[in-house]
Amino acid sequence: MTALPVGEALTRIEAELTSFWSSPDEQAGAPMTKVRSSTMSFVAVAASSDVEQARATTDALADTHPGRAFMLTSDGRLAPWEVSYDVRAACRLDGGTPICFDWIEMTFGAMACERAGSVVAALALPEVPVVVEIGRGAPRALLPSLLPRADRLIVDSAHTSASRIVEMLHDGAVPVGDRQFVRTYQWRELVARFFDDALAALGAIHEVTVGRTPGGATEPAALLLGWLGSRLGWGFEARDRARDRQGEPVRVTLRDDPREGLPPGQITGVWIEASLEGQPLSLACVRDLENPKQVAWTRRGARVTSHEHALGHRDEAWVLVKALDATEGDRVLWDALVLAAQWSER
Amino acid sequence: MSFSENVGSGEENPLREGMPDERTVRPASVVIFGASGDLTRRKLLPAVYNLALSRLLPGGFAVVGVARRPKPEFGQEMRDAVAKFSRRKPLDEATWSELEKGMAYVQGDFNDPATYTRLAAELGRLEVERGTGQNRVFYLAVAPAEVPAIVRGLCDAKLVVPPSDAPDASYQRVVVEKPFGEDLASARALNKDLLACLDERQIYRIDHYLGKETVQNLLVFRFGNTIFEPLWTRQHVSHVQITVAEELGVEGRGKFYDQTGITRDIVQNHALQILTMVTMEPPSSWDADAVRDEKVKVLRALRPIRGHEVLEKTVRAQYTAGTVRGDRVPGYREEPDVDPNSKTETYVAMALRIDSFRWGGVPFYLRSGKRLAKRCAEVALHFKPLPHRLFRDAPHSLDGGPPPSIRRGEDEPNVLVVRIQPDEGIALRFATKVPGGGMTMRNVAMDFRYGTAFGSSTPEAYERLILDAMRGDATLFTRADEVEAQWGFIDPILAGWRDHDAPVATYEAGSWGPREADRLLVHGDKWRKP
Repeated sequence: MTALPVGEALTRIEAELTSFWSSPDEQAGAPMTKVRSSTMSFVAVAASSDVEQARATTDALADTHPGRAFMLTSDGRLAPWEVSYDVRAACRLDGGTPICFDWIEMTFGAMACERAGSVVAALALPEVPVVVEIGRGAPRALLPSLLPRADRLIVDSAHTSASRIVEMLHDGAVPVGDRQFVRTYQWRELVARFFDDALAALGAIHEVTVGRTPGGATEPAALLLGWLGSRLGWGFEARDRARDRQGEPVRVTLRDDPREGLPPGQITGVWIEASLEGQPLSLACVRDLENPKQVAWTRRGARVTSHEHALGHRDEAWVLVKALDATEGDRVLWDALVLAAQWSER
Repeated sequence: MSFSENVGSGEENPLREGMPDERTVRPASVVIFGASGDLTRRKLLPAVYNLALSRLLPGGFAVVGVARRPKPEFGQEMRDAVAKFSRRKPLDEATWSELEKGMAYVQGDFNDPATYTRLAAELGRLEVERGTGQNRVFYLAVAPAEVPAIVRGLCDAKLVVPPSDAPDASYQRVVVEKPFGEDLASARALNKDLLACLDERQIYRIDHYLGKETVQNLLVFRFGNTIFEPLWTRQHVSHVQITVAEELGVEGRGKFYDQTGITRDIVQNHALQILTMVTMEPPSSWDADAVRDEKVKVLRALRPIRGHEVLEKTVRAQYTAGTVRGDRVPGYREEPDVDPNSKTETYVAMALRIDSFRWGGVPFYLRSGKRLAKRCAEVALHFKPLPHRLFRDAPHSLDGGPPPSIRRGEDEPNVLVVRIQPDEGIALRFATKVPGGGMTMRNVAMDFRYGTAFGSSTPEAYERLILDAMRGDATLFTRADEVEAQWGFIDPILAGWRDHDAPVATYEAGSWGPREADRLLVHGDKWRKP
């Protein structure tokens, strides 16, 4: 890494990138023009201890979302107005054609952080969106100048609370994707499935219980309750009490459910009590005690059904791709985050 | 307003709002008739597995194979097939294991009512165990002659019931593989048989070309961008070439092929489908019937080629021995199970006209063949030449300039090529100034490849189509009137060849087709060599 004042570093980065892109690729034996298809500039803001992980993320992303990747962090040990940087570029052969990508890593000194936004603006690719991901422990000083440059923001409410996310994006003007919202998709889908053939029960829910392993960095039930409540028009009066659209009370219970083999902050089950056609309807979707990757999905009362489903597992590269691409859920996510923040503040 | 007030009024589950469309598939069983066949092993089960791997299958899901042969090891055979033919390897054991739990096999004759009784019992068991409800997709991977009997058997056994518009009603759908008939009369008869006990909304006639990402992208390219569609008219387009070329020969299917020919096998379905997507008007919405209405309009606007016209506007041919990709290959008539005096065409070229305001006067050249120089499916729009050659008399470049052959960029019109396979992508040819003194021009190609932007592992066509059948989206399936309109265009050509004893030209395997095809082109146009 080379440390220089910001302006000088920027000039050198531009020169290195120009040199790379204006020279032919020769790995196929003969000089060939380098080809690029760009879908975005991706800016990963990470704690200095997580740069290695951010690097792996952007490397994996190059296959499906090529463009320019930035990895930004800060380090108090640098001279305040300096920035250290590294530029990487690589080509892979696709059917004999060299397809090329580049990566820019920058560590900002304390005072230089406020210039991160202008650096990204200067180096970001034209015509494609700038996507900013706020990683765990991302230096806060980098964010104020970066967020206004973002066309899409990726967060992770597993380590950044809904309240903090809503505070950062107070008006919801920047579209946001949430890794945790992607990870918990199956829970939402399984809950939605309770009601596919029992829509009337949605207006007659009187109790919701969420089980989770204790010790998560944030409360895992918040996003699920925010989602359920925002879809059904609930307002939270307290953490254990909501009112539905008709003003009827809904009891909310959280259940500590420690499980061997499951990390902290994982949902272990969702139980819903409702009524349908004048009969009680009990709904449960609960991780198996022996195999936590399996859930038992049951309905009792007005509807009787029982199945088992595998929860499966997706790596974080897949989770990020979905957080980037699944924009059809943006409004639903934002509504869920706002209500989750309200619930958390009760 | 309460949710209960809306039940039965078509309201959807609000908890599903914002969930990806393709992930809102309701629990279902997929029943494959012809489960012992090659299509099931090579395409259908690998597609189902990849849907499971992509987590696109619903939680409640089952696959039931039906065929005549006993298959005590059906699960193991399917596992081996998926391990061999899946686009993603190695086999993910957890995904397969979950899929296999909902897998069953029913042996029986398709004409025997007892087969359907056993199938009903198996489906009943799976519906309880796997929570599939009575949602069923019956995939008929069988010969066309067997379709009517299977559909009758399903209806008689009440495994298929008339569709309901209630939001939580179960569904039953029937997917029918191509070929859909062998001429207009047989296609009509088949439609009549199907519609005797099914509603058109329950019938999904498959043309796997429509499941290809790049074929679908033709519509996105045209109707999802503002800059191309205004050029997509007779005012700007000089002619259009559609090529569906294969390197392969008949590959041991000589008997089948000799009764079919490339016109029935490729042109009647794949090539005409591509043509409709290239030329259709913008639909009013991305709705199955809105899209198919526009495609049918194109088919009806295709100027028929009848009687003697086939001699002037079409060319049929057979390959002779030659070299393909460095290998010597025999001629068509020397292939096993092919009649040595066969007149079946392995190549066809046509000059088509579409009688519409948009395309009046624009020639459409369509060709398809086996044992051509390379495997390739593409659409090339050749734009009109410049009305005035501004740079024709410009001096040569001061540094001596390039040789004349590449100084003539101005003379060569722009070409836009949509490559469907392989190297899926889009290329645009345009003229640029060669650096240096003077105004020397040279053509360059701006080339976009899908792999560079989206990676190389795109879903197979059957994945998309099976998922769409489960979702009830028939946009990428052909409708009864569409199939009949396709045959309505092809039938007179086949009749013309027969009635006027149209010559069967020859071409060397590994070439781009017979010389006779050149006479179809007008205004000095030339066939492309993709």
